[in-house]
Amino acid sequence: MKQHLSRRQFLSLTSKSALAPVAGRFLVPASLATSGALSSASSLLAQEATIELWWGSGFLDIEDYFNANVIDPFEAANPGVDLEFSWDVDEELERKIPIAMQAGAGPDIFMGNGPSHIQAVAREGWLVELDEYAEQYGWEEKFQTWALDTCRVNGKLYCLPNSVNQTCLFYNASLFQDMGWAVPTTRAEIETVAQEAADRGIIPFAGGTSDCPLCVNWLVSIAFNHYAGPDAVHEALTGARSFSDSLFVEATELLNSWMQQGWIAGGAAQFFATTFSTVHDQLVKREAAMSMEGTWFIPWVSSLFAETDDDWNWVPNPSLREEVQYPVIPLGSGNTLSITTQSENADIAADFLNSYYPDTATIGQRIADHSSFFIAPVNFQEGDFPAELDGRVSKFFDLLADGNLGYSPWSFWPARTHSYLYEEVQKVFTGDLSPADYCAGMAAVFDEELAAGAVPPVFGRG
Amino acid sequence: MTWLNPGGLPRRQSFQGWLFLLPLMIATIVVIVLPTLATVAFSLTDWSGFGEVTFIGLENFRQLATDASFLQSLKHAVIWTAIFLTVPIFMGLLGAVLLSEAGPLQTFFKLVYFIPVTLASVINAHIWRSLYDPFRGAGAVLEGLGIPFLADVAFLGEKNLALYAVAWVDVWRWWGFLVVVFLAALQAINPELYDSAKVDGASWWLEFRHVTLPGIRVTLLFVVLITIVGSLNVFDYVYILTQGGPAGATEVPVTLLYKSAFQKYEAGYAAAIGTTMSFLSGLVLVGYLLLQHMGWEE
Repeated sequence: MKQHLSRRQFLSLTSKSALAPVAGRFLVPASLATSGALSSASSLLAQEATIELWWGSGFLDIEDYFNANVIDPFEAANPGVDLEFSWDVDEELERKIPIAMQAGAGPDIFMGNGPSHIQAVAREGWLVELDEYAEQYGWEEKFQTWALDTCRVNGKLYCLPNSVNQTCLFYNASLFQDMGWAVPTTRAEIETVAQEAADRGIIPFAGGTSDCPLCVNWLVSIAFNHYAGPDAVHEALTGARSFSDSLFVEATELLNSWMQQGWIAGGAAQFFATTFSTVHDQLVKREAAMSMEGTWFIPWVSSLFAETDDDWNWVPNPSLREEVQYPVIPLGSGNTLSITTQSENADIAADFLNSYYPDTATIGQRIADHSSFFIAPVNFQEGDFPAELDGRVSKFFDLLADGNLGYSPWSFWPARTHSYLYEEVQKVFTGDLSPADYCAGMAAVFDEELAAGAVPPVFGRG
Repeated sequence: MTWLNPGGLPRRQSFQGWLFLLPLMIATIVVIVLPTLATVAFSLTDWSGFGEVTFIGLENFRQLATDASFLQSLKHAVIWTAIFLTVPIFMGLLGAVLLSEAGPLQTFFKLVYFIPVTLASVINAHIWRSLYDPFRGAGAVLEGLGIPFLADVAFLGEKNLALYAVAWVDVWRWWGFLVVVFLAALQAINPELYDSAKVDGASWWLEFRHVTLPGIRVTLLFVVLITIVGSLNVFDYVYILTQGGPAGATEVPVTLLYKSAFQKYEAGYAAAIGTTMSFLSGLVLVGYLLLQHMGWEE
């Protein structure tokens, strides 16, 4: 749902909220921590300025926390600087940015809808090059290299990655224990569990895209990364292998066979029509055994299971072909932060971006507080995460360090190929398109975009 | 230059008349005429929505003519139009005729029927998405009550059902509006005509056919006009509920336009779709104006 809220409205609402005491509890320590990170640069900012920020409305879910830990500390450290937030859903922001920029009415900072969006905007010269700021603030050392690389266009840095995510396998751990199922790491193991679940009338994989039709891209990501493998995906994204290659065709065939057997959501029609709330309810109520979703689900799954006697867990999806080394971690950069060339206060905007990513221990604390919003792809050090952080959250970062990293379509596929990926795979599931034709079509669209230089940067292997 | 002063008004009054019209004309030019011209111009380019624009003549239209997705979306728009020219108009007329005889309860029912019109499309769509959910929706609830005929029906997931399921949500919203519109038209009919018909021994059907329908003809024609134009350009419920899926089963021209412009960055192609749909809507409008010109409303 589209929402607009100015910063003043935001502050007014939060100050009147019954949760204000809770926000206050966070305010003092967070302010101290963040202002420390700001101290070096804030002395440069003794000037009046209004910074307009177009931000993802998802953050409104934690508006008190965001206000107390991000906005207020910056304004307190920079008297005269007013941060004016406008909130909107990511897709709407993506639509509005080109319109606003062409009308000369762009914001200072905006949240981009992933690297492929940034590619298109940066090529128009609408984004400030951040390389000098990166040097000034030490962003090269702070961020994980692969994540920062997704923000480069022709070698220049145009955004900061705001979040990192990966598709993974959630499961009802209590159900697994009661059934005596081992957590699967191979195709044979997951298919055995799926068959046993189906035999008992349990949906093997809860799933549904009624709220988010494009989220079918999660399944394609899993098939490509865990069957074809990240090496093959890397080759395809760099033009060394075609998407029509037999590995991708076989991956699509495997995914489709699971769908046609009813293992995913009970079948294609149910999959297209089921809402997320039902998907999650099925997992909690043992109507489904597993769910192939992403790490963004961690905060919600935790609260859902808190209301039951059952427990949950997650693991990387199994390797679906012997040659693919387990575990594969298909990385995705959820969204990005950029400064537009229409900003008259780019230095202050850059300073705000730097303050948004304070020291890694503070980021670690934010992850412990709200892991759905602050999973920033920075280089964490040992001890950055507080003791109260759930091990199922910190596991994500352990895997990042040790896993066989793969490529999520929403970050590494160019726009038209990505659109093809989630639009046309639906036709595979409905029987209107063969896996071979699907992959051939993807190859054709991708080749055009590769030739046009529209493919986002891809981190290397090894 | 009689068109500038059609009423033969004194020059000063004519000038004042145009002066009063000026703000509206400026607004129309800025908000409608210029964007329309820009859309037509962009439809002749390969513009991505960003930066450089290259003129490619009628290439986008040539591509549209053979684009299976666009042709399928046109087919869906025609089906949608057919649904909306029949189901809600029939329901609205029936509801209005029944309500016209409802006495003191008329206001209450008008209000009830009108409520869906006042709800935001996002809210309506969310309600129906939940009702259509194959595991937790109406079908599952009925099955729990021992009425299993809708069990396992995935209304928004079956490609043969999805378009009708989405259309029904819009019908549910729209028909209440038509009830109110038709009721107002019915109330404008001279009651003496019904009295005369009764004296002549006309049945209910003959009254409806020879008194009611001619009496609401102008309203009906207008409703048909806005139904056709609205159906050709339908977007909100389709986009919110299915985004044109599954597998293109609910794709309509404007969802395709939106995807072309904002997902594939093919703004020139999207402009060509928009221009084509505007042309088709314009044809309908011309037909309406021709009927007016022929005195159909008199």
